[in-house]
Amino acid sequence: MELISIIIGGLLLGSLYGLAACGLSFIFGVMTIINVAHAEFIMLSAYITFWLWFFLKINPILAIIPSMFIIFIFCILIYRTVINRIVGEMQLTSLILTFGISIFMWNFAQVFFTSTFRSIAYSTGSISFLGSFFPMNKIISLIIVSIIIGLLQAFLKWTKIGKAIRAVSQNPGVASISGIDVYKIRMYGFGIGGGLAAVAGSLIAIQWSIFPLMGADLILKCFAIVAIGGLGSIPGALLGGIILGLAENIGTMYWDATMANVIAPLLLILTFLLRPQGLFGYEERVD
Amino acid sequence: MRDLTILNSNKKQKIHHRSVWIYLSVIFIIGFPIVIPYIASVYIASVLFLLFICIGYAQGWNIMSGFTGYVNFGYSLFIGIAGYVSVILVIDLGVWWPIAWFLSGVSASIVAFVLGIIMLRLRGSYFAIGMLALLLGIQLLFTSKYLAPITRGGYGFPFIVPVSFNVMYYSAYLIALLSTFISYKIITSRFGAKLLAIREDEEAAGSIGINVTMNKIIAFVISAFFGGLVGSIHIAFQNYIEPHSAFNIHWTIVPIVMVLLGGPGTVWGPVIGALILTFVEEFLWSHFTQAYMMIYGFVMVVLVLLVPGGIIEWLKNRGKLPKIRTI
Repeated sequence: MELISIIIGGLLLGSLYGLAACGLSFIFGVMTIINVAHAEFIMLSAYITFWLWFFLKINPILAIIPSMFIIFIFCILIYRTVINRIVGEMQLTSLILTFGISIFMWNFAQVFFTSTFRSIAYSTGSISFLGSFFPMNKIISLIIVSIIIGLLQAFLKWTKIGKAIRAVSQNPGVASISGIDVYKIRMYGFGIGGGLAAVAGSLIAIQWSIFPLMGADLILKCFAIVAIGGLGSIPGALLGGIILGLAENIGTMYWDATMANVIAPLLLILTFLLRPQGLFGYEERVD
Repeated sequence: MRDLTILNSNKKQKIHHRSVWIYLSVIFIIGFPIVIPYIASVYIASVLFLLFICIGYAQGWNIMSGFTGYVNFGYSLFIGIAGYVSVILVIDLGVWWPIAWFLSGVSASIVAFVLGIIMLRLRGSYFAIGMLALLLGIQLLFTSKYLAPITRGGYGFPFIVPVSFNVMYYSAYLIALLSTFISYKIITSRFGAKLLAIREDEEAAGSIGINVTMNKIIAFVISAFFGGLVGSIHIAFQNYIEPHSAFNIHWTIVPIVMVLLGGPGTVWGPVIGALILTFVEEFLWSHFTQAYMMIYGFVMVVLVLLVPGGIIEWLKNRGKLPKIRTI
């Protein structure tokens, strides 16, 4: 019984991790940029959700839409001013650049949002299932993650922009010859990656406490997940997220809570060393 | 052909004439900090102390990441480990401070050697992310209960340094000079040329018979030695050690921004970067206590986009500095 509740808890946590890492993987797939600032987008979105709830009393679930929109616009602005100049250059350049953006953002948050821990009291009840209790907000989060991933897959499969995004991620040269505006598609891709981060941020805001430095832990987990799932693969990111969620939950239960956080860096380094293409990825891209 | 040689000799003479002034100013700059603790206020001395610490960090980071192009996001790992080693050596085992500082540098290089064998198999961004992961992982490990008998857990502990500020000041100054000198020695040696070859094209370097892994590991070890040595003095200055300040990612960011600003892979780049940023930071810190770290992020973005080679490279390209490796 206990094991089942640990596993379900791991799935609930893992789905959120998966969504958080999804945007990172997506952006890498579209333009081979490793976005270190990804977790800061998540943090920013969590704060937007929090402020909307705090000042305007907007339901945090509904606040996903405005925060997604704001982060989308923000990402497009960043893409147009900064990222667009380094697409196609060495990966390390993008790494240092987005690291700079990330430093700027968390310090910005620390100055303007102060480093107080904040949290949203929303649907704090729990439901019982198979003899153990699960918090309501985590169940809601799982449902929303499933909806968002479904929408994303449908978008990539059936819409014109989605198809163009897949084309650009598979081969930008050929895509550009076929009449796709690669610059524009990458811009949308970066925006959508940010949008995914925004959803993850809103969902994190209703479950955990948020603070400006939350990105440091989160980005490491995202990297670990993306490494496990293979860079650029969305199903891989989800699976990786669930693996990490399960591993952390089991670690917390049978080991101790601090050491459970060591699992992410450990998994990251082990996958890099033993299987750099990821457990499931083999030249897999956004698809 | 003859015209060219005449031109060259003229130029040489001009440079020679100029170099007298350069030598004089270098002697002045090197000699000046020695008298500072006696003529200036404690505040100025402590700013200079921080400057030397930063030069040491930046030179250490540059020896690995500037010369070989392997960006190390986990540099404060060595600072933290060396800090703990030096404090524990002194507090628990009663070792004399200078020896503890040296041993902590050595221990940081031992750690770097072991890590290098494992981590330097990773390429480019994988190495950078892997080192970041290691930094955060080991920081967590130091807060855990498993290392608590040695590290006193996550709360850390205060200690009293039996060394005066002046000793720390001169040690930091000596190490700043030494690290710059070693950096100069490396860049003018065959070893430095190998490192630069690795940066430009690792496969090509390997194919002409350079033992790529070995050279990277040696650079990593030297880099960690300076990181650790400076880190232990820095932590002695702080009088307190706990995992979050010892392994603070701040001291990874600062050297990176300094080196990027001055010029990665150059001898004087880290010094110039440290000089500018220490004083800018001191100014900003006194006026906008919180906002100064934002500047680091901003400077990093601007540098990568607009001046990727840093100030030194920019001056070289504009003809203000001769295009030689020793600058």
